[in-house]
Amino acid sequence: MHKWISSVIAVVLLGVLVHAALAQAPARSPDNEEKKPVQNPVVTVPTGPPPLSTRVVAYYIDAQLNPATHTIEGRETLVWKNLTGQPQQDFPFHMYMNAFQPTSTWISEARLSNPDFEWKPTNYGSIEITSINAGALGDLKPSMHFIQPDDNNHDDHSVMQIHLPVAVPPNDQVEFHIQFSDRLPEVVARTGYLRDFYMIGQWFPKVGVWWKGEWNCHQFHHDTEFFADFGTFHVRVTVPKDYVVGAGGDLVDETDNPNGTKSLHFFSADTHDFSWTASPSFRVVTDTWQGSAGPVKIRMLMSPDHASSDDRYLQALKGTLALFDKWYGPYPYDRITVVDPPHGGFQAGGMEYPTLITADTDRLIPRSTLLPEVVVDHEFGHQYWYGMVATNEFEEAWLDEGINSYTEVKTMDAMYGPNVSFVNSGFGTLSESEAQRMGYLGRPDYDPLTRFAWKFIDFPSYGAITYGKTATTLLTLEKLVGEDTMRRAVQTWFMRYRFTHPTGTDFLKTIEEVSGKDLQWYFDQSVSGTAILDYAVEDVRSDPVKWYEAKPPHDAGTMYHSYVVIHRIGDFVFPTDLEVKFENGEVVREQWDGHDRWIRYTYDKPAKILSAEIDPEHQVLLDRNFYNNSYVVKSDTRATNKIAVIYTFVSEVISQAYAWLT
Amino acid sequence: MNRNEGSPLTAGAALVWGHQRILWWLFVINLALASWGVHSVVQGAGDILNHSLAAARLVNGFSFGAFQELSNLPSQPLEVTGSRATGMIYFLFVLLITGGILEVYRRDVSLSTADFFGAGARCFWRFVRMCILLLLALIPVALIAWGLFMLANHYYRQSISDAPGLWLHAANIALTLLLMMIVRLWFDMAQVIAVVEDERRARRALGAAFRLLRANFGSLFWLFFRISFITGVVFFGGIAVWVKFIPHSAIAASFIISQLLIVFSLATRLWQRAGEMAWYEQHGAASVTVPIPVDDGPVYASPSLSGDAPEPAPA
Repeated sequence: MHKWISSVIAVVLLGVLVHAALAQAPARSPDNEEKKPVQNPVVTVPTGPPPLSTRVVAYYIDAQLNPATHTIEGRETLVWKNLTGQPQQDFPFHMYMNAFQPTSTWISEARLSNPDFEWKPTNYGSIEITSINAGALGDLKPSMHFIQPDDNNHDDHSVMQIHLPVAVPPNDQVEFHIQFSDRLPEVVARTGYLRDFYMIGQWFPKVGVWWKGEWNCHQFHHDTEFFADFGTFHVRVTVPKDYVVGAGGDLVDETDNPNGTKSLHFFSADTHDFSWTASPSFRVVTDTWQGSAGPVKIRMLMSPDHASSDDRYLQALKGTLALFDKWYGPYPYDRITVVDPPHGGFQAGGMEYPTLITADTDRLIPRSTLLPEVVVDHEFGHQYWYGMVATNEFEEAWLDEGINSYTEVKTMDAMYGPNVSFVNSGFGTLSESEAQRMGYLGRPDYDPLTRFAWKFIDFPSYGAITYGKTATTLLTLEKLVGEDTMRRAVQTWFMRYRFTHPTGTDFLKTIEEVSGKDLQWYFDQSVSGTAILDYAVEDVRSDPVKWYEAKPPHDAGTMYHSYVVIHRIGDFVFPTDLEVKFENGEVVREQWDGHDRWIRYTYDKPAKILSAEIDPEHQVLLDRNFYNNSYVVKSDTRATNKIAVIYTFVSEVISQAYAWLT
Repeated sequence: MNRNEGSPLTAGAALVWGHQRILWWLFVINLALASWGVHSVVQGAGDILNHSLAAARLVNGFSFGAFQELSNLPSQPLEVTGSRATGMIYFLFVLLITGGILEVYRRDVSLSTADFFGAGARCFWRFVRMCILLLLALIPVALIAWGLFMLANHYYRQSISDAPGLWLHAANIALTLLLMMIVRLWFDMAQVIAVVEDERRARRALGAAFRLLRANFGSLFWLFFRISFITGVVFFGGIAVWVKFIPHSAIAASFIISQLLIVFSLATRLWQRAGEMAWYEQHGAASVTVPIPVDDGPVYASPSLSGDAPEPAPA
């Protein structure tokens, strides 16, 4: 029997046990005011295949959605194991929903990046803890208070901390029982409601991570995502009976309640978050993909009017699954859910949660624009870079978004073609690598990759650097170590660090180890630094050696003294290849370490130079300006003429539009 | 074909064909001004592209990434600032010659340059006033479009299906185009009346045109709409052909098809003008009661209004 199949059976058995225990709790209905904390039915995990992760947390959540008020009433039991090696008495919790309030850090940062940031009262969100205790340790509500570890904004309530009367000894565990209420915002920052659609993410009190000898529980910032410990999630959600529900877990069972609702029980293991979605308008599309770790059930929850995207999502997802499985490592879960937000719900689109991703499409997007495919590819990639290799998204966002953007380039290029992997229209084309590079060049030198996500100068810089520059840096690195080596390095990074919380240093050392090269000089400039890489062919000339003798200009016997000057315009030092072509067909290759500010190459040959080109294989994507990388002696005006044709035509049309008013 | 024979549509086409010089001059001025407006951009692009191998990404295909990079080079950003100015110059030029164009179509003769521009200059200020009034008349159209846009957005946001909102947006676009065509037709006829009847007061000409349009909406709008429809179909069809069938590297062919589209759009606008004039000559003059103004200058009054008034001899 396949190892994974036995694992699935064990998980299902565990789920059945949990459900049986949950079923003993009083049935909850909207008019049932009695709210008792869910008792933790299973504290010890039954024997079975060893966990894939170090399971620090076990969440048992019972949640009821009220669509009339866009609220969730929840009861949560959190079993937290003290694997910190020291007693723990203070516990911070994320309260993400409180970020959607006018005085929060999230909103103030949004307005800092964009003073025209639109805020509507319906975007208000909140999470309130109505009771919290730790069993015999008693009521913890009096000790509960909000903290602001990042910016001292006392009006920000996105992190709550409690103090236990006694510390939890090392290797012991504590059970928190929490009752909470969510007020969902109209969809913002990938969570909330829109009409009858609900995307429920970052919705329950979530404990911080003990990391590097201290609690890591940052406030919710406009540019940041998440960080949490691995564990298990036993979640029962209750919704109106006609709702279709999707979640980041296996459905253990589903029961109809007498009050017109139904409850669905999900179980997820070796994940660090749990999200779910619900809508009566979803259309369900299912499929299966066979991976090296076993079959994966694909479940797509499609919004109305998006039928034309069914096949586009599915092909992109299955193609990405196959390439990740082949290149980087097995996908160990038995499921992946794709949520297609309804029209106008782009705020819910393009988001990743463990085994659940949100896509993005519109019926007006033509097939030549591969946006739906890119989004699915990217968000699925996060199952590896965030989901399993669970880096700290607050502090090192480049490790998830950036590496994921790099693998997005590789997979999209492989599936759709390297030059047309983003746009493939009659008007023109755009490749994934070009898109990433353009993103980087939009704001290239304000922030290094390593900056904490909320400390970038603004959101455009965060996007340009975290996504675009990281991808471009890793694509350029292929020139130094080779594409195959980079693939092996990323594979090693995944296989070695999956289900852990590695750092950027771990990633860079992995690349150095796999490539066998010291690359610190490169990382210092590209990862830790903000230097611009720009080499230019400064000058190209060919003069007759005996210039003082009158000879026909194209005499075959004429010797020419030729030279090429390369100029390092930027401060980024990078080894540079030069290819010089001569009129007689001869091609000369040069290599320059790029350290000096310029270099001159001279040649005495019986032919003039035709052209000189830096980086002839076009591998140094970090180069700021491709146009100055080459010089052709003979002018070729075709591109200029083409620009002239297009600009002139547009200008004529605009003039005629003016003249229509006469 | 005489402008008083056949349908206004064919008579208008015959007028445009018979006075092609207007079309080609308009085309040349439009092209020259546009080329002048984009000259600095093209020159800047040439400095970057003409000696660079990277320019191939714009020749053998069209890489949006390469174009974006070209447009945003910090040392030489390609900003089109001249086009707005040349667009305004073209606007004023057309405003100046519209009177001359209508005069040529009215008389169906070739005017000397002096007479042509003289006729245009005579109408210039009344057409300036009409242009201002046109902008005022378009305000309600814009308000209706904006209101329907908000309504469509509301439906789009509120409906589970995006279809009602999208259809409403499409209907809004169609209605807005329809209203713009009606307003334009109204002002076109006012300009015809201003020229034929030498009506200097813009509001009186507009009033007469309004009554004329109200009384003959079907035939006038059908005339205007058919030509607009042909323009749209051919223009966007031509762009589709350009994109689909002209290879990226065939730059001369691209230039030719782009300029053919420009010539065609100019020709169809002139066709509307000529068709309106022909229609007025055939149907409209008798129904408009505008007093013949007293003017020191030459009077090109409509025979239908001025009885036996002789036409000036063609220059």
